[in-house]
Amino acid sequence: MIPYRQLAGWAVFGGVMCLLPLVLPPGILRMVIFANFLAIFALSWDFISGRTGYVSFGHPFLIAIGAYSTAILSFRFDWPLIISIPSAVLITVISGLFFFVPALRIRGTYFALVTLAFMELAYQLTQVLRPDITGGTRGISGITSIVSGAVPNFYLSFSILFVAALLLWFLARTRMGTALAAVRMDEGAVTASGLSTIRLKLFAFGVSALVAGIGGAFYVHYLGSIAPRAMFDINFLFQILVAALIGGSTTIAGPIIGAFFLTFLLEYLRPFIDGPERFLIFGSVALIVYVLKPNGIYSILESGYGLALARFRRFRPEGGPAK
Amino acid sequence: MLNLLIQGLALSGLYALIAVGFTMIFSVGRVLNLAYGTYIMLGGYVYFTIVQEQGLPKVAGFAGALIAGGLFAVIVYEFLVRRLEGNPKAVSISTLILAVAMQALIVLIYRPTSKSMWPVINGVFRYEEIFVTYNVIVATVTSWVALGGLLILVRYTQFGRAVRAVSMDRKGAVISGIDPERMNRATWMISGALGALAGVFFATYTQLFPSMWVWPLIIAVAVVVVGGIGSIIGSLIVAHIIGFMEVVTTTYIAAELRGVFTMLLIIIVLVMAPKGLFGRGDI
Amino acid sequence: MTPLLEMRSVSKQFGGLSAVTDLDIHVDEGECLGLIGPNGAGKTTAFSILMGELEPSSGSVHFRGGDITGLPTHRRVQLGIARTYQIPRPFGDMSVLDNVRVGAMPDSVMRLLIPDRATESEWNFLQTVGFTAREASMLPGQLSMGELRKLELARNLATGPRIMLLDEVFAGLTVAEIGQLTELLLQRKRDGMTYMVVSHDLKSLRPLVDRVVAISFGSAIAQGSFDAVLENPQVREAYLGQD
Repeated sequence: MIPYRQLAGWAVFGGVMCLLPLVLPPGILRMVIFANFLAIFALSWDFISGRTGYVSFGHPFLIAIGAYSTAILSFRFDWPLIISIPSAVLITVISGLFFFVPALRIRGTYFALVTLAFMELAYQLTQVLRPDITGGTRGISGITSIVSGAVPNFYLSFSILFVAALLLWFLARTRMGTALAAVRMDEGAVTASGLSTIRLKLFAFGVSALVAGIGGAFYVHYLGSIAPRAMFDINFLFQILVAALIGGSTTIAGPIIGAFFLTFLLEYLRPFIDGPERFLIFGSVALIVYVLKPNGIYSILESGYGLALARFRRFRPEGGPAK
Repeated sequence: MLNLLIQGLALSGLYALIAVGFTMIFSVGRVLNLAYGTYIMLGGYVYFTIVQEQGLPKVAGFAGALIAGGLFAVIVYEFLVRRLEGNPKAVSISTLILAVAMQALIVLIYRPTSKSMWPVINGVFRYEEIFVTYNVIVATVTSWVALGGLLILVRYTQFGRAVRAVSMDRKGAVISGIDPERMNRATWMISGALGALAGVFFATYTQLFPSMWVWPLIIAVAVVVVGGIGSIIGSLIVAHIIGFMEVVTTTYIAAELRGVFTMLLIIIVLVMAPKGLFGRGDI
Repeated sequence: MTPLLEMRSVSKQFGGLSAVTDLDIHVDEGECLGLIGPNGAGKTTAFSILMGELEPSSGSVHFRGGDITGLPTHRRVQLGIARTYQIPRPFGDMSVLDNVRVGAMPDSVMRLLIPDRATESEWNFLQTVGFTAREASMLPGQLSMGELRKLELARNLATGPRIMLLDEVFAGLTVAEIGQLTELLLQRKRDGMTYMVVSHDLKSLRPLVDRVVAISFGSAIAQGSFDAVLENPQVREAYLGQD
């Protein structure tokens, strides 16, 4: 019953990624670092939005809490990173409760709207409240980096991604994963099965905020600077959301695939159009994929793999196996 | 003090106009159209192009804006929303993606720098200590005329009856001989045109810039959510609450905080009273 | 003897509308109680109040003599009360097996964090309810109404109930399916299960119930044996209108 095939997949994924710095120039490696972080954020988003169905439009809020906390603690108060980062993650998990409280009463699009309002609220407040600490509109720059150079940063960001993905993969395979999927389908029936949806949701929001906080904290130390417009931004939300959706929601591989696809698509559009206009093409691609294939690239790959397998076995050549 | 009152009324009127197109779609189709803000942006930019860049008459500018808004809204409905019908989550996600893509399109055509829009009518009305620009007067009057027209359309015409029938019971409407698709298309078109109209005035209040769609969208959401679904009077009241809150905050506290109370209002009302303050409410 | 489950002088208003008025219902251990009455009489509302899905406007609910009014639904399920819905509510994207297994899950985060694998006993359980191995891997969308009702019943049984509230269990079933279901319910009853059954299908209800309560406009108008209640002139009038 040990899932050898998936474990093999993980090993191949980890192995290939670890070899990347040997073959890629630092320029492209920096893109991969960004893709790693985006994948972490997309995985965190998908854990509540995809799995439990509580679509979050305010995920940048959680990420920014993690990022701002460690930035402020280390830059303004000279805390060592080894304390400031865990504190930031803890603060993010607690802030996740801000999301959780509305989820007790509302769901669906209404919930998405509240989280969006949280993000805009935080955006406006960071600019005005205590600019001596948050840096106001200009933000904070000169934040200590953990390691320097493309290769060490790649390994650092990839290890976080790998650990986060493994953790979420394990969770998805537990009974908890099944119970959270049940929450998405019918909360009333979950309650009628004797499970506390409050507890399940609290767990899901906690895990999602945990991953968002870890991602946000390490991300800001990689970037070295933070500003409200870069963080509490609909474009940032858009990238997270699209990475998860285009790759394939409610899977682990999906958001990772989506994040890499997105990063490289944006990068390869650069010679043709170099500004934020790239989002036009990118957004159109995302929309088309989303409307035609709501389950994303992952499902295309999966059915492609199934098809190939079927051909190979000369079995049911007209389509892949069910599911 | 009197100036504050007039400013508040003017801003609230505009907010009511911004929200009303959004409310229509929400109460008829129960979908949150997060691309609504782009109608407003589209209206502003199209008017700008026709009047300020091409030097054509203002009537042509308004006509162009209304047509562009209505047409775009119908396209969004036909190619996106209709295909995702029955899945409100997918609609809100995909319209949000669309809005960001439209923002990129605006950057592509008009560059990211902001453009200033001339007032629709120049000049200032002055009486003793009251100062009001003619632009604000025109905007407020237009808002109220448009709102009144819409109210008459919805309440007292065959078309309005049919639209309300579709919003209450789609199947019942179908067996009464109403084509819900046609009604939906018409509603979306009106919604787009109203949004674009509001956009022209909104742009004269602020400026034209590619992310200008976000704030009006939040206003529209706040008005609908706080006012309650399907309550036109509720929407009007909330538009005034938000408008006056903003004017008072800007004048007495800080201009940067003008959005904060609106956001808090959305959060508090959604959490405490998900049905809205005046709605018949079904979630 | 204390009744297993009972509601005492429960009223429930929706806005100005009274759905249930001063209603007393009780069911003893091992008994099968039928709830009958015309549409809109308040039978489903009564179930929802017993389950804690609706809060009563006044009155109380008791389980084995203990007051459980205000207890959240999942806690009542853990105590041993389960219900089915008029329109079955399966988890749509989950196999039949997984649907049933959600019912068996412990309500504890730590104990949910173990690999999700069907155990032997879960397979066996599914077979005792009458699902074949092939059906176990099907999705609810592929099932007939009879199988959906069976699925919901199985998910309920998996929670380990002492009493089951069955809402219109016979609706939409074929005659053969009604027979199988009755057989299954009676068999569990012999093992000591208590039931409360709402049904419009009086003919199917008859072999199942020990006692019947007739409800009209939110109040109990008659109770007693099946035949006695159906003979009651008030009940006949409620069902047939002015007679």
